[in-house]
Amino acid sequence: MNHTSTLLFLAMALSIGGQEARGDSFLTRDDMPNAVNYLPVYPYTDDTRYLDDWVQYSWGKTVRNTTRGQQAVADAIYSVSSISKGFNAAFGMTISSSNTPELYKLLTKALGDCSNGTYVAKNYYMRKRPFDYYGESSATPNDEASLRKNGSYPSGHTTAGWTFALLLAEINPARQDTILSRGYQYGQSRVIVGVHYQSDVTAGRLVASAVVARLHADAAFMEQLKKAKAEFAAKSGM
Amino acid sequence: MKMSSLYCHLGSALMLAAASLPVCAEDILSKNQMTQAAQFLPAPPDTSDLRFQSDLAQYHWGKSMRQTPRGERAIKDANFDIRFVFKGFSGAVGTELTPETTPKLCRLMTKYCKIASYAARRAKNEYGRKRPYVLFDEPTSVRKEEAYYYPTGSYPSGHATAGWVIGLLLSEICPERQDTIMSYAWQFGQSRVIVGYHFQSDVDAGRFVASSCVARFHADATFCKEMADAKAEVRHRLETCQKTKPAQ
Repeated sequence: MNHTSTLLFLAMALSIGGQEARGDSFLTRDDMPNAVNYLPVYPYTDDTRYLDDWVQYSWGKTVRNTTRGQQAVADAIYSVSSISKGFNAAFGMTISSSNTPELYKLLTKALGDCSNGTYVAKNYYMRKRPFDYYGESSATPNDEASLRKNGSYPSGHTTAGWTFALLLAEINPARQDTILSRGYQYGQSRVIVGVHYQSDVTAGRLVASAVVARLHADAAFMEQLKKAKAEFAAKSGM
Repeated sequence: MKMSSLYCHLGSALMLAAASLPVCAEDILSKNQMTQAAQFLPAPPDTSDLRFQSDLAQYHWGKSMRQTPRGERAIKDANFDIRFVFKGFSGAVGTELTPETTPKLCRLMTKYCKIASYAARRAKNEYGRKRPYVLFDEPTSVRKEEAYYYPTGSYPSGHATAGWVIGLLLSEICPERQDTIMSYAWQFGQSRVIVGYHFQSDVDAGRFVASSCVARFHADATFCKEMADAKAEVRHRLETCQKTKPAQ
């Protein structure tokens, strides 16, 4: 095999791995708390509590053809660059590998931990997505095929968004309320596009809090967080 | 010592304890520095809202639980004395947590749970949501506290906020027991629904506010130092003492 073929093969192998940096995280999947053990089961469709999920699914549909709906579609991209971009305005600084390399490294690995933090529960419950259950279209049709095979409860995007919000609020407490507000909305975007129930999103925020707590018990994470905080202090002239 | 002098001393001691939060130069986590939950928390569902039906269903579930062992536990959880709260979490952590065995941990939790309540309080006052027993004019399973809590806002739940804060901080200290700790913290919040002092959405909001509080704590150098000390204290105890029976 010549060099060109080797490089091509490698490029293909890496791209098939997908957008998520599953190999890149502070902790292993086994280290993460298991949401099956600390969160309740989602509301079944014959449960009175399901009414809330149905009401919110209906609400989400009314928002889709608005500016907020457009934001919700933008929020659907599950990557560190896309999620952190959504926090730039709230954080008050551009979050990127060039502008804030230490912070970017922190968030990249934390995203991997978020994926690990929802994996077990998602596969255990394999809750059907709302658009799938109702046989309707979501606002992100290109994602539907893969989402049909991915459990709805809890919401991975919400876990990531709220994790980012908590970390960014810790680094920049002066802007905590704006950051947290954006983090909250990030989860609601999943309801708007119709790929998650409200209870998936609410659970996702709780998983995020547990993931962040677990990360704070990890030395490598704390070391990187310290670098990110120092970087922020230097860049904001503190 | 005369009894009257003894009572004077006791009274002074209690007043000092009640003034609890140290107001010193290093203690920068004043009321104004905590997250203002009303900025990012959605409004609670109005009684005319379809979303209120979920709260109603959970209120009825709570009532159905009161005459069970779970209902008895819920009554105990209502007592927000740190000694009682810690007794419950001790089983999850695997060692006895008391003001005598783990004083640094107890002081940390008492202090920061109180600070966390600042974050919840403004939202409580802003929304002024009626508690379920007030709205429905029905008894709770903790009758003696009804008058005290009557005028206070229901959303978000202060107990649920504090319970989730404790769960998150203990998880950081004992990550190997996180599932059990968080499960206990979850139930601590649900107890508020069972006794009739909160709607489910109040408790959900409380947990959510708790995570924002813990984020803010970690931005404070004093907290980080106090947390490191408490962690060392608990880890030392875990390594040297026998474990208690796991919580039921």
